[in-house]
Amino acid sequence: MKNAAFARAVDAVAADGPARFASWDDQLFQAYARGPISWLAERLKNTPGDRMFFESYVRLVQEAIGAGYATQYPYERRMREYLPHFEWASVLELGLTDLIPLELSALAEERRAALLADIWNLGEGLRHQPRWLDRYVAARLDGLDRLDECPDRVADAINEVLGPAEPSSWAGPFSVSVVSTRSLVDDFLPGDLHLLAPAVACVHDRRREDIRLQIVFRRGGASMLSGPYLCISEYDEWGELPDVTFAHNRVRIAERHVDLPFLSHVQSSVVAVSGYLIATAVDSQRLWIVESAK
Amino acid sequence: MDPKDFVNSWLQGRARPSAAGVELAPRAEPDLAAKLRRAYQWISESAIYAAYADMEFGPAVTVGDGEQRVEITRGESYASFVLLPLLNLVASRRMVIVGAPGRGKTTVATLMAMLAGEPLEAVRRSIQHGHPQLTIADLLGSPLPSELIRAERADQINVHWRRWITLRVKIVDEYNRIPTKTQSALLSLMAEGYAEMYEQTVESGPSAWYLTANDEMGGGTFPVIEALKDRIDVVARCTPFNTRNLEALAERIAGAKTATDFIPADIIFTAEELDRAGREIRAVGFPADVQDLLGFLLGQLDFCRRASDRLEFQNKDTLHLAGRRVGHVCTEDCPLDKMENLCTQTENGVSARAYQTLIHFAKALAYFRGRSEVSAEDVRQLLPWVLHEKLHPNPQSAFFQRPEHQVLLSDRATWVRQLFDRAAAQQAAHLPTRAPVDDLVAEIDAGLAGLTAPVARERLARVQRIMEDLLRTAELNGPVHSDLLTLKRLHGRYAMLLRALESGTSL
Repeated sequence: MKNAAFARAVDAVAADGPARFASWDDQLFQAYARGPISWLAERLKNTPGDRMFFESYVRLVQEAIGAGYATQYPYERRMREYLPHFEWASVLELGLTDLIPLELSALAEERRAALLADIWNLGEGLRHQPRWLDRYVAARLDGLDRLDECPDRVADAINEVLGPAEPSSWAGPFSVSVVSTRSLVDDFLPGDLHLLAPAVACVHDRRREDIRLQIVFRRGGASMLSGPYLCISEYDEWGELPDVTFAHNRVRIAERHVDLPFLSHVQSSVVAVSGYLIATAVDSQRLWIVESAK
Repeated sequence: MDPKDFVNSWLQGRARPSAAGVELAPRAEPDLAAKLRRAYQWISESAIYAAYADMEFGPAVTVGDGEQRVEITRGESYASFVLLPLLNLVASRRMVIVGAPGRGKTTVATLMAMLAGEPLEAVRRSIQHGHPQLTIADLLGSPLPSELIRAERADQINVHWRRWITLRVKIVDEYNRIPTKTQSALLSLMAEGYAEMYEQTVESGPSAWYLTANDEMGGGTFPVIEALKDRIDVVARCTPFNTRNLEALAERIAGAKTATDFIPADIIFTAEELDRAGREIRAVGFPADVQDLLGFLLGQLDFCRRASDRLEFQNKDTLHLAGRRVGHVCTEDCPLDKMENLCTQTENGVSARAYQTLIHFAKALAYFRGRSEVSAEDVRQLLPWVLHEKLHPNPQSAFFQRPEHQVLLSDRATWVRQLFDRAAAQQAAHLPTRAPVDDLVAEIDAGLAGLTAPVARERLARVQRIMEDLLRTAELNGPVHSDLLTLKRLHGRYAMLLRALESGTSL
């Protein structure tokens, strides 16, 4: 690090880490120092209050590593393009390794401290929620280039999955996407399904009680599968649901037939009033997601 | 909750903009068991280098056989030398750490005091070092000479109590070098929780005690009084240094560092946290099946068929009061199979205090492991350390004459675990014999209100019949003795009820 004051701040935090945290991971901190911390140093230098904001950020990184919030090694944006399965573990990690180092300097000086605090608070708040929610919100924030939009974007993402769902008329047109659970857990065997929230379903492994995956419904065939995580509780939906009858390779929803390729015998299914039907098969690791456009 | 309210509540978190940039309030620690596990991890990896994980959970797989065998498990494993002191801290109990000089006994105790928030220098000053000239005044404190001269009555004398008495963690180093009279003063403090001098008392408050002692080879200057030994709840044994950790020691020498240089701030417990952990530990469940298994084992240890012809006196205390030992009567004259019956293996039984200690530590262990109730495995892992100094083997037993059992006389931990494993197998085999007794107990537990004389008479006869069946079909060993005692108690209650019903008086 070229700036001596910045380098001293980093060294002080590195030396202080083991005295503050039993789980201090010095290698991870050094990786942050080479990556996000130095990116922020480059962008902040010679701006008003640069040292104060830099030190605040480095302290937040220390707290995140010490508390076990940050565990993922930081990669540059261009590097992540070569990591096909890259997924943010949490909003806090996204904030500390990407949003703050790259975007903080673009903010007006008087907004910086507030946004640093907001991102920490949102990230820590989400850490105490089910992990699928944190990952989902992190995925929705990826690519954000205006730090001050972060709180609103988090609220929008939360509303998408936890907010009241607009009931579907089930008039179609219908689209079907088929996703394989093998991409997340190699030997996952989809079993029971239930809703976790208006726009989130949970699928249990048939053999292992502790392995569950989550599906967040998103329009246009963009539903997200994530996990494995624990599911805390079930969500009971109210509202009118269509009649659903499965047949070989197809399903009848509200008198409309929809083809379900490869689905021979249904294991379990769940319907969301917002216009989604999810099904698992007795002989497959796939999930069938049917979406009604209206 | 409205999603927007979620976001707003998160935004009120512990980070705040301030004149110095961003200020972070301390993190609340809702899960103290997780903090305890973090402390274990840090101590075993960064301070003590405990290489021997002798408390293992989960089904074991044996590799090799005979004398050349190793047991491995896929479950969690812990070093008792680190874990037991931690459990002692959060359960606020009393332990002794034994081992050869230089093995880290005082270091572990010091780390525990530091975990309770005491700075290193203060811990060092508070350690009571046992030596042959240690007086009661050295240990507890004394009045100033000027006050002694001025005072006209004893209650006017202000005793200057030593500070260590009220500390959360109390360390007495080499307690077996303390003179007998001073040991008695220590006993009052440990057992009753207060010290008295010149009609003044000082309360020690909730405390975790750590006593250290060199092993038999190191030698103690004075014999430790039995009452003091009895107050010690659990024993931790230091393990030898593993040479694989030499590199870490070399680093310490190079950096002029020691194991107790610092404790990370996030594993230091406040007094309130220790109190809360103590309450949470007591709330951990102790299920009936684990209680039954523990009772099945410990009940057998007291039993001695040759001590008396009367059921009530068939125990080892009867022998000891007569100045005899188990070895004197546990011979071919006793028809019980010495390879099967556990009573032959021990010289003594276990006190009610030891039962309580075991239950409390088992709860602490389950809590540490993040469980809401104690499992049989928790008890199995703790048993050797609670009974280490309390249960004595009967070396004359035919059981120990077998070459493959002789090693158990030197390895007390494995010996006690073996007792537990045999008891678990025996309990399963004894279930059909005990079933009719359990049915009778369930019947009486359901209540006696409204019972008529004919029903009481029928039950009384049934108790007697089951007793007769038991004596006719089963060998009078520890478990059967326990069943007979239960039946006799039931018989007594029904007989009393029947008398009351027939005479028209109330119970």
